[in-house]
Amino acid sequence: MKGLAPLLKKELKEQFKTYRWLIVGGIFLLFGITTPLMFKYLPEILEFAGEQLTIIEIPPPTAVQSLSEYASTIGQIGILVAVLVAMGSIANELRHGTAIMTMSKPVSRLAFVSAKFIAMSLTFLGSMVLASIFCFAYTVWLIESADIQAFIGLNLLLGLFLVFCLAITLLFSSFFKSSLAAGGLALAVIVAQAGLAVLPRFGDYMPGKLLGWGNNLLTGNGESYWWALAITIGVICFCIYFAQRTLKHKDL
Amino acid sequence: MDDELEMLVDMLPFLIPVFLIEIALLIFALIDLFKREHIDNNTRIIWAVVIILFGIIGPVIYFIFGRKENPVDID
Repeated sequence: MKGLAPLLKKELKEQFKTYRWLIVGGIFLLFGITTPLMFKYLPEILEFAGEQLTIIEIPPPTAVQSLSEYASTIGQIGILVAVLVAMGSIANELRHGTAIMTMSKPVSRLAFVSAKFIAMSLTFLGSMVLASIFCFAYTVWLIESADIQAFIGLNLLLGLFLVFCLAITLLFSSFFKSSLAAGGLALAVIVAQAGLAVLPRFGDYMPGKLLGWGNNLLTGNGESYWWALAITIGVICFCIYFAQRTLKHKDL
Repeated sequence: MDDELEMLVDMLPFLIPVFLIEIALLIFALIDLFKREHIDNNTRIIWAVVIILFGIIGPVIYFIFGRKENPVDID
């Protein structure tokens, strides 16, 4: 992979220049902080919302509820953020002609795509780590103690799923010069696989199953989906390989 | 009323990071908006209103869609 290090350095700088770290970090952190707070103060908030609501009996919040709600929110919002952030990464460079300037230097197409993928993945994973630390600390502080090992496992699976979303979006971004077309198609594929993930048997092989597995870790029961994990990693590698192959055969 | 106030006071220390995130996004977005040269004044004002009025969503929308208007800043 010729030229990966300088390209990665450039892409990491780009993450700061384009405020991607702030967008992703801000959004993730917001949900990491507000989810345990909502669970803790939900009865009081409802009580102040109106007297008629006080008849609703709300059971005391649990740490598992708070952490799994956080994971589910990051899983859903994370897809949108991943698509929005990654959809223009290659498409915009193709449209504005800056891709050809980079490729005219002694760098391989694989390094070009990989640098973008690694830089974006680091932004997402870094933001997730920060948000998870806040979420876990707030949950323990406000609600009750929780199983940290299960939460780390959940975050690893969630992180891998978001990296998968980035890889899919990056692949479509290499197909089109329009970032909206790339984003739309990537979102369609991600939503479609999430739909397939709920199917019995067949769904066990879908990347979307990783979120269910993460939840199972928290609750301490349910199955592991190793095939979904292997397939997700395979699809990520496939996306990176085909994104660079598309660029190789494209008239830049 | 006293209960509401008490709850807000209880929540306040936990909400400080949320305010900081919101303020940081707002400030970075406004600085970026006013530093840009290739935006006409009307567009600048509209983006400023979006950034200020829409809470955390405004700056995020600006960073994702608004910054693409400048041909110099290509991402």
